[in-house]
Amino acid sequence: MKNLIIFSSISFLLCTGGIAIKAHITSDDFLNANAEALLESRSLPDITVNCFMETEFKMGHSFYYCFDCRRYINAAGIGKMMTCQLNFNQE
Amino acid sequence: MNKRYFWIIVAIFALYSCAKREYYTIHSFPKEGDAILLKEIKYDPTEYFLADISWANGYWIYELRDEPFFILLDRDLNEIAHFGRKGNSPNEFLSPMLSNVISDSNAVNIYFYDWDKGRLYNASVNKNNGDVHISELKDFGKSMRYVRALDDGRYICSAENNRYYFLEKNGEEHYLEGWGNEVNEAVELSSTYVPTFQSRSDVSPDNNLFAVYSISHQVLILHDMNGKRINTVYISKEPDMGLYDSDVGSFNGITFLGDVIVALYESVEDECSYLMVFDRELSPLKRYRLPIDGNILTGNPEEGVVTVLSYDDEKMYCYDLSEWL
Repeated sequence: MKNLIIFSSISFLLCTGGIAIKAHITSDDFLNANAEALLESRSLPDITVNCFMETEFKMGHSFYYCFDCRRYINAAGIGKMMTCQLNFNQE
Repeated sequence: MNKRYFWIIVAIFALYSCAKREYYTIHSFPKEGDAILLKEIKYDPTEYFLADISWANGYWIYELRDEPFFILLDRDLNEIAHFGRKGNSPNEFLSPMLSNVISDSNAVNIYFYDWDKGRLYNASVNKNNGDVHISELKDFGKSMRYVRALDDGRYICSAENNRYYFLEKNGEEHYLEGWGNEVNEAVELSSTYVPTFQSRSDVSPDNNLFAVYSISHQVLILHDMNGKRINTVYISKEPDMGLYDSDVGSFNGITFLGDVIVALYESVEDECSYLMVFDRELSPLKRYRLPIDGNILTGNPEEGVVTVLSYDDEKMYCYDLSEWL
């Protein structure tokens, strides 16, 4: 009877320990997977937008400037239209 | 038999001409003339680096290209107050734009919105001591090209895709007539979307008309305050909406005087600016050729004077259009 109690206690401890360790490992896996997903989501594909090399001030207008491929407000692009790569990863 | 065919054809043409057209193209104005210059006002861009000017309720409002973004001046151009710090903190602004000005006995209430932040503000300026109190009125949750609060609790809005809609009191959005056609949400909801057709707009002082003028194309659109499209006019020819900038011309401003609408038009074809006068249904009345390149227009409806700002000349030109009062 005494042996049975000791055996049961050891089994219980081993089981609960195992479950805890497994849960910990699973949790780590889950966190790692999330972290990887976040890193992947940061690597958005480049987007091409129409842009202009020259600009003039114009209230209410907006445009993309080829030089830095950024959008500017209250300015209009003039001259030849080109395209630039909008890289979210650099922002 | 031939006579019958003739009358059928006449009837078809009559029906066609009676049908409401969505727009009409103006090739000429009934009258042409030179506007009478009343005075020129030279300004110093190192003092006021002007972006826009407005005359409202007996006051001048200068919008500057950098902080302080707004200057309130009396009718003799004496500065009463300035405000509008640049920044991202509360009561700081990234790209503030004037929406409306209402004056009462004690204060001038300047309503403006921040394009980038998508928020509407009120700056209440004490007429006696120039104290300014700024309060945020509404956060629209997205960047806004245009916001105008109406007396009935609605807003006229235009977000980044430049489509005008009413924001109702219950939060519902309803496009003004013609602005909800062929919406491509997949494209237009992109944060990188820049519409080829860009415009500015204004509400008439009697709050009965809403005019949209294109700053990229030769298009003028007039609505009533229920959103119904009263008329759409093109200057010279139908615009190519696929281009970012028209090779014909575009509008630089609009103002309401008496029963007419005055628009400042920059003609690429004629390489000059015009003041164009329309009636309240956008029928053309008269065109004035200007000897300057005009960038901004504002009007004084009490005196029938319009003021045109020229960035190149660093001057404001006041023209007499009192014949239309």
